[in-house]
Amino acid sequence: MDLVQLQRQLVEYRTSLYHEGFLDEQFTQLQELQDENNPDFVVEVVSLFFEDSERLLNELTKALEQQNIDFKKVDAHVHQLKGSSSSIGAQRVQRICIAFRNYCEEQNVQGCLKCLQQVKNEYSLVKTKLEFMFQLEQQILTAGGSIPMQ
Amino acid sequence: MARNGAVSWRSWRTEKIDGFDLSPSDTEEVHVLAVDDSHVDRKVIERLLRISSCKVTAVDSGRRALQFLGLDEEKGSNDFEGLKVDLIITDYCMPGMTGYELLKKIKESSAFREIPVVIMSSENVLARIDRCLEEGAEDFIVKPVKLSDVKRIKDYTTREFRVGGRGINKRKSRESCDISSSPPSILSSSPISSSSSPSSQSPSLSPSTLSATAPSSPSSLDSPTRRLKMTSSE
Repeated sequence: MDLVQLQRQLVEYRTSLYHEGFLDEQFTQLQELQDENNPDFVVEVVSLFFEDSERLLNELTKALEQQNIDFKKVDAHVHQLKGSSSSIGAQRVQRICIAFRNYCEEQNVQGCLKCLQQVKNEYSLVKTKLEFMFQLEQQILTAGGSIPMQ
Repeated sequence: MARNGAVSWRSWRTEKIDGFDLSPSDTEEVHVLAVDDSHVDRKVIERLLRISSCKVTAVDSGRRALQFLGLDEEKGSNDFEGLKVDLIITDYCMPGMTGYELLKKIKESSAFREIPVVIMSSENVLARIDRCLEEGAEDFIVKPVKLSDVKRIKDYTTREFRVGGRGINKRKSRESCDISSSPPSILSSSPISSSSSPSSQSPSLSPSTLSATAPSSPSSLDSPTRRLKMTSSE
């Protein structure tokens, strides 16, 4: 694929992520903070998000497996996940977290378990999509081109 | 412009605070202490501040913030390390010490109570906002933090806002647009005009007279709740 095609593919792909609600304007804000002096800023922040999320999802799984679930603890983890997903613009993950917190408040185990599954799915989706998008960006850079903004 | 204001405000502070060696090195750049337990948020706020030409020190807890300022009880309160801090921005929800508790400790400290403190929170809760403002926070930002938020709070360090009265740019939701600050006369009954240079201020007219942390209850004009009700769209 030539450079122009790659760039077009990137723009289309990125646009679809917004349309499908995977990303919101906070992600755009992060992109605006990137420049020639800080060319890896978005990738770095997103990587931190991945690390944080994986840790939190593990903690959530463990917490919800307990005989006596500590809902405060579960809520604390979800709150953190909600915060970091919001900070990078991972909208669908953030939205599940909101529902998740409501179930925590109600101490609704089934609701929590359902949300845990949903949030794992959404996290996995957005991770795959962002990684693909970063790959496209890298291909463009390697081909000597620049990354088009929307 | 704002630069001159910053330098002269700092030299006023130097005269006022005894026993603290406020290093004159690089008084041009604003130094912000950012406090947030989230790694992601620390990275973002750091970048937002740097891009706004601020020096940043980012720490992950209220305790570390106090240590950095030299207020940690164990280290001794006069152990002033590091650069002078011009602004503190802190998350509200943190394990251990909350941002609110950190705010209180800073406002209780004679050395640091004049440093403007801004609170960030993902939760847009009016009671929480009120509490923070009443404790002396300059502003309350609803997360996620944007560049426009940082640009606005930077004003707290360079403008002579303490003289002219606090702005009421309180973000209440992601959707609500920035409410531009009303004229100072609404908030401040101080006779000092906003264009006077800090050197003409008498130290006794410290910002605490304008702050809502004064022991007497704030006048109805000064009430954060009233300000928020004026502008709230909830």
